[in-house]
Amino acid sequence: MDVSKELIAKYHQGRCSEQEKAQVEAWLNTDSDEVLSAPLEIADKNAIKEDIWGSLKAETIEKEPREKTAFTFINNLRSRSTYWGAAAVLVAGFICFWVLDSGKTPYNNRIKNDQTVAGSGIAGVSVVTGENSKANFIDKLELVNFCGTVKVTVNKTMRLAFAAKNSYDNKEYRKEMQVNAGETYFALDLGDHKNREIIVKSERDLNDLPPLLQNSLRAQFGI
Amino acid sequence: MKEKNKGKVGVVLILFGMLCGMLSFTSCQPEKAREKLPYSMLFMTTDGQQYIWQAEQLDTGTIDPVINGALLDRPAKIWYYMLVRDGFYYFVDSKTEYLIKGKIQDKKFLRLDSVYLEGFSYPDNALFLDDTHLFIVNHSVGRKKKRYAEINVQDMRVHIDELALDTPAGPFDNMSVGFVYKRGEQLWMGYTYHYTNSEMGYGSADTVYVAQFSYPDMKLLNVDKDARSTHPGNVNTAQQNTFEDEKGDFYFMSAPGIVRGANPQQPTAIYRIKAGEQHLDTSYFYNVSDSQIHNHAYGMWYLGGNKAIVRSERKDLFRDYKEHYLLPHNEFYEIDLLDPSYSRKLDLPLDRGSSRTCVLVEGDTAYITINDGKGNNDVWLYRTKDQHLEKGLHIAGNIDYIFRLERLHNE
Repeated sequence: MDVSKELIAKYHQGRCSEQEKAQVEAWLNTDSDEVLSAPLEIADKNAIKEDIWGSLKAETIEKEPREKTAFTFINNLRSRSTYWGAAAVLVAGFICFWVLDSGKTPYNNRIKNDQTVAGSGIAGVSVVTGENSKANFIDKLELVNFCGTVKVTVNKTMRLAFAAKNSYDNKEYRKEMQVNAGETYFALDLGDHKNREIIVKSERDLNDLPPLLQNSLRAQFGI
Repeated sequence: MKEKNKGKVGVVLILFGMLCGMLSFTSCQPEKAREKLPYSMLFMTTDGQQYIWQAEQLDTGTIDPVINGALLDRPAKIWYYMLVRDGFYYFVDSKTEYLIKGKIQDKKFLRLDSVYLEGFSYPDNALFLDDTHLFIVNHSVGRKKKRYAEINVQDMRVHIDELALDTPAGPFDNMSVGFVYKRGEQLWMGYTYHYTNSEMGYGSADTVYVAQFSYPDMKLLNVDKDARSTHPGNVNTAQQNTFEDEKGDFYFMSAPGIVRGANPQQPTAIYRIKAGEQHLDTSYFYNVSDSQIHNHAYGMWYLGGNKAIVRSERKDLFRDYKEHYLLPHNEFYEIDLLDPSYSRKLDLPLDRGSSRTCVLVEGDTAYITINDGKGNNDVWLYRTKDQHLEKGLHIAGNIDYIFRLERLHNE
């Protein structure tokens, strides 16, 4: 039965004549899974075949010389691969050394995440550094010196100071506060040379922070 | 005598009948009301406790949620992202990573069901696609792929998968999805990238990204970029700023101010995806910061007829993020989405809070909750037809914030 896609579309749009409608419905009512016929004349089919062959030819047979050139180039590369490889390793090594040594990447001197600061547990204060952070605890002064982010847990209620130095103007920023026994606090040293801020929040109050900072703490400390 | 007695008995019977009638009214009416109370409000007190109050009406009277509401005592801090749908409450317990489904019964929060969402301790974005399906995007997990969870809240079954979005690279170490919008068999997502480190502080890429996925198979079809603003959609669990208008055009706001995108040199802007279109409408860009509002904004709600309410900050009244949520400085404006020259500041007290679901529009009335920091915690009614404002329900007690006001039941 000769029912085209166009005729079916016309049928669903309600534009068929009675004869066409009967034709489509007769086809719909059969169990035949016969492929819809394309309304193409033999001449059209031959023209399309020629077009397909033409484009295939252009992409394959006629392209062969160029591919050969590329192949030769690759072979040449392969023959020199030992030299190229050695040179690449040397150049990459030099770049890595230069970048890490000059400290231009923001992720240099990375301290392992969740690293506990040695000796910080002495006075009942546990200090854990976040990514890219450093800290030390001065027992006598009850002071946490840090840069980046630190997690501080105290097992006695006390007055604790947090201090961070701005590397741009060497000015020290400090925040002192009462901390409660058994609670965990997060201190963040944030900002650029214009606006620097030390933020200290107890774990219970983390939701006061902007979502960006909350997410950062969650990613660093798994809270 | 007999006649007199008959009369007395008759009177007693009538009185008894009336009494029974009154008793049945007083006992049944509140029961009916409790079944289908239309509104839900979430509060935090000045001592950090959170309460839910289900309200019959918002137009008048006084309530005290500490006395009459349900205390949320486990966990102590659910905060602002409690989701409400069709009488039920949903939140992700950040410690256990379980999505909890509950309801209020006899002034208590009852836990009814739960499902484990591994890695979803905090929702970045949450949206009910319909009455049954809750779609959650997880919070940022460094440079890893973002993931989503689609939960059937009837049987609490979950499907979790990765989102085919590029992970953060270069200086950016996290990303956020600000809005999710479903249109037919497509899901749109607004997102951007962020950095948080001691070298640079915290902030965002200077670009709004809008991804288009096929739904439900979640294949990424296209990503549009626009570098005129950033942080599209804000944090939808905290404050809303997306809607579809009567024509099916979808609007969303970007939030580059300091408490969200933290790229304040870029303007807060309103974007549009027109009904039937497959890309951002690049010809439309409502620059809120350059309008008469002249500030950053974080909330937007649709009033109808091209009008919307925008909740904007006052940069002259706060210094840092802490003052941003503590001090009253937020204003409400009525704007015309198609005419940026029109804006009308609502004559309301300055409002507090950076994360507040504080506007509910029903017909010609916008219910606006205000915390003015002086103990005046009220629902205000804005009648859009005559632009009339009046004070409605008053919230008594030591309330610090009215976090959420929303429909408890959809019908």
